[in-house]
This record gives sequence, structure tokens and C-alpha cells, in this order.
Amino acid sequence: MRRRNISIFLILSAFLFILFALDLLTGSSSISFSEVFRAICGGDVPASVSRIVLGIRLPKALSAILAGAALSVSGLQMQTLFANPLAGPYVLGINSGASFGVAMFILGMPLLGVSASSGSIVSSLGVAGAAWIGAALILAAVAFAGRRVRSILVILVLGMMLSSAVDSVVQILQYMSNEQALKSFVVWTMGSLSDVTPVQLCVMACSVSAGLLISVGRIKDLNMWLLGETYSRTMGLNVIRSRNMLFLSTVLLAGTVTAFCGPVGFVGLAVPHICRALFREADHRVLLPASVLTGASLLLLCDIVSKLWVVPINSITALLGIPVVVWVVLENKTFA
Amino acid sequence: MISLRHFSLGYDPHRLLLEDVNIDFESGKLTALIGRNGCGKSTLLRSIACLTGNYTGQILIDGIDSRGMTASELARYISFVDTSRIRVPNLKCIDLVALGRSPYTDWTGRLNENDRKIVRDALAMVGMEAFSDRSVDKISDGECQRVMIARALAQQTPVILLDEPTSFIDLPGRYDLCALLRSLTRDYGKTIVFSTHELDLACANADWIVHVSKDDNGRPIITQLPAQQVSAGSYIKDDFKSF
Repeated sequence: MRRRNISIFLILSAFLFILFALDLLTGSSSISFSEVFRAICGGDVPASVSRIVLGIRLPKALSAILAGAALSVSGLQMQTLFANPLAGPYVLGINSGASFGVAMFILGMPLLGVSASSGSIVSSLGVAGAAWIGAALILAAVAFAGRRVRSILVILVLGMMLSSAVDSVVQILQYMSNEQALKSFVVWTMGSLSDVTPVQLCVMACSVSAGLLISVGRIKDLNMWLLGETYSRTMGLNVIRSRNMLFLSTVLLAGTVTAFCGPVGFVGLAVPHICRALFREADHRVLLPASVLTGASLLLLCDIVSKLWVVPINSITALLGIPVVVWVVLENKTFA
Repeated sequence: MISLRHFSLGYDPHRLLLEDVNIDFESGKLTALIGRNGCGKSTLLRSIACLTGNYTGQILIDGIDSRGMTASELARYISFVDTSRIRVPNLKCIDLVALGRSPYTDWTGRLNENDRKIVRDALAMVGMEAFSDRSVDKISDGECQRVMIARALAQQTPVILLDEPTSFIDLPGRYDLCALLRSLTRDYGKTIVFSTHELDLACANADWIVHVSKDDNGRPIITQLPAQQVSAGSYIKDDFKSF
């Protein structure tokens, strides 16, 4: 690996570590650095401090890292697979699909007279499962269209239309639901890292790791996909299996994060471009770890900002991500 | 050697592009595929590369039906170049050519010393070694075409199929390319089939000309002739008047 890349990787890792520490330090109650450090290391601290650091801030910081890494890698995969710089879980409607699944679970279940007690393992797995299924359905529909239609523009429009359609079904569900279910769904759509319970964190860690493992295992495929389907096939790639595995990985990554943290937009779209600009590389063996580090750092940063101003994390990621998207559009005037 | 047996091709069974074709593309020979737009040259090449299964009959690769081969087996036997332009930001020419080594590398795609030498040699063969560190989105169409051909060379397959390889390349470049293809058949015994609209270029360099056309009833006919015979003139007068 080139020396320049190694130094960027070191800087990114340092950034990640610093932001992780800062994230643990910021919050509504002021806790000193030494107390946070001792709480993490299991030292002697007041019970309230230990509860805040280990029970609230640490899970939140960890879920920020997981969510940032997962969304960025899924965005990178989608951009390569669809040969489209504007692809990402958000644009292709995967987030909408996951929202739809969750809406069916949170809003639809009470309508059918089934109530799942929130916080239990069943309900965390149920939310995740619903989001997975929703995301997988949308992705399958887009992928099916992609087999027949080659035009990138058509696929993008299809993704947008599908998410609009799904959103309106969600609206109908919202209209029919009772206040309590409606509130918990609306809060979920705002995106929050703080509602992730330890059980959910474990589920998230497992499926994000699985998604990342699949992605790493397909790293050569991703590089071949840069040349498109025809060349990938003539260079020996089993394109259907490869595409399905990458879709599975995307569902595990983006679907899970959306399930537990709500629809966090623009991270998946923006981070791969930041990495390409930083490293000036197209090789996924560089871009994939770079996306993990940058995505995790970016979401930690967003979390710190959202804690300082007490605003939903969703709005922060959008405000940070949109300039990147605008820059990509202006840079690639000739794409599509 | 690639052999087509009772090979028929077409999207509509009543209007076939090719019908009951039996021809051989011999090893160590350069074959030029000519014919009008839409006559099925590209589709024929794509069928041989197993990119479309939309045909009846058999494609035999050294006597083995290609339908039974996996993508990775085929990739060690046939490489393919078409006219699509690859415009990936930040992808260096040398890294693009290195992707041609994919059938031989492990799951990480890591190159060994031998692979790197093959990649450098492939770039040198198409005269693009000076471009190895340039990004493919910042070179011209013709240069990009040559890099894509270098990628096929790096794949080191006994068969190379090229769909209109000369289309974006300037005139001296076209002659260089055809000379290169000819020398590959001579020096390495490769089987090379390329489609083109440039009859003079094809006659001057190819061993065989395969002409796809239609008879008076609109039925497809395919003719395989030695290139010297075509350039001798009589054939052109009779059958190429539509060109």
C-alpha cells in the first residue's frame, strides 16, 4: 500500500478515536474526563456517573460507530454496483423500505390487536426483521427492474417512485393508528441513536458484522464491478451470485441500522465520495476500510453536534451530507 | 478453436439474425467479422463470450459445449472487448489492466510479481505504458479503448473477441492495432475474432473474412473466405456492392 494511504488511514483512525472520546465526554450532565475514563475502565466512580457513561453514552457512541460504518459501506456497494455516483441506500429507497417494514410492525400490529411490549428481545428482533424484510423487498424490486432496464436513470426514478408509493402506504397506516403507536413511529422516523438498548446493540453489532464480512469477502467482485456487468462476466465473475450477496450485505447493513436508529440519511451517499476525494483511489481494498473509518467518525461527529444543540441526528446528517452531494453533481456533470 | 454447430441466433424466431451456421474459428488465425449494422456481428461475438444464451445450436470450445462451462472456466479461455467506455474516477490505467488478472488471483485480487510483469507488458503491447498512472476518466476514447484491449491481453486467454476495436482509434492506431492482433496470432497462437466496418484493414491483416449478409429473400447468410480472395476483387464486386 502506498505511504500516502497509510498516513491517511492513521489520521482517520486517530480522528475516530478522538471523536469517540469526545462523544463520551459530551452530554447534558457534565462529567470530567477522568471520571469517564475510570467508569470505562471499571474504576471507582459514583453509581450515577457509571450509569450515564456505561448505560447511555457508551451504547450511543458504539451505535454511532456501527451505524456510520454500515451506512457508508452499503452506500459504497450500491454506488459501485449501480455504477452511479448518486446511488445509496437512501436514494434507492432501501431506507423507505425499512421504514415501511417498521411501520407495519409498530403501527400495523396494534391495528391487528397484537401488542408487542417494547424493549423485549422479541420486539427488537421484530423491528429488525421487519426492517430487513422491507429493505429486501424494495431492493429486490429495484434489482429486478435493473435486470431488464439498463438505464441508470430509470432505476433511480423507479427507486424514488417505489419509496413514494411505500411512503404513502405508511401515511395511511399513520392515519389509521392510535396516538401511542403513532408517536413511537414518528419518534423513530426522526432517527435517534439514544434509543438503542443493549440487546438491540448486540443484534445490530452481529448483523452489521455479518454484512461487513460479506462485503469484505466480495472485495475483488466490487473492483470487477467497476467495469460493469459485461466485463465482470467475461473476467470470470458469477454476476448473479455476486450481486445477490452484495444485496444481502446491503440489507443487513442499511436495513438493520434503519431499524434501530431510524432513517439516517445522506451518510451512505456522502461518505464514499469523501473517501474517494481523500484517497484518490477507486480500489475497494482501500475505499471499504476508509468508508468504515470515515463513516464512523462522521456519525460520531453528528452525534456530538446533535447532543450540543439537542436536535435530531437526522437533520445534522442531512445538513452535512447535502453539500457533498451537490459537489458530486457539479463535479460529474457528464454522468448518466 | 471455436466451432459453431447448427448455430441460430435471433430475438424473433421468424426473423433470425443467423440461421444454421456451421463455421470454425481456427487457432492461430485472425478472423474479421464484417457486415452491415444490425446484422448480428455483436450478438454473435457476445454469444461466443457466453454473454447471451439467446441462441440455438452449439458453441464448441476445443470440442466442449460452452453452455456447460462456468464463468471462471470461460474467463481463462475467452477474453472480450467491446466498445463501452469505462469512465471510473480515480481508476488508474494500470489498475484497470490488472483487473484482467482476476481469473488467476485469490479472493483479495492481490497480484504477484509475475502478474505485475504481465500487466506491464500488456500495457506496453498497446503502446500505453506511459499512461499507466493516468486515471481512466481523464484519457481519450481511443486511449481508453487501447487500455481495455491491454486488459484482455493481461487475461492471457487463447481466444480474444473484440467488438469493433478500431472504432475510437485514430488511423495510424488502427493499423498498429491490427498488426498487433495479427502478431498475437502468429507469436502466441491465439485465436482472435474481431468485428469491423473497415474492409481494407480487415483484408490487409486478417486470415479469414466472415461476412454476414442476407440473400435475395432476406434470409441471413454467412460466408467465410480467405482474406486474399476477398481483396483480389471479384468477391467485393459481387457481394459487397451494398457497402
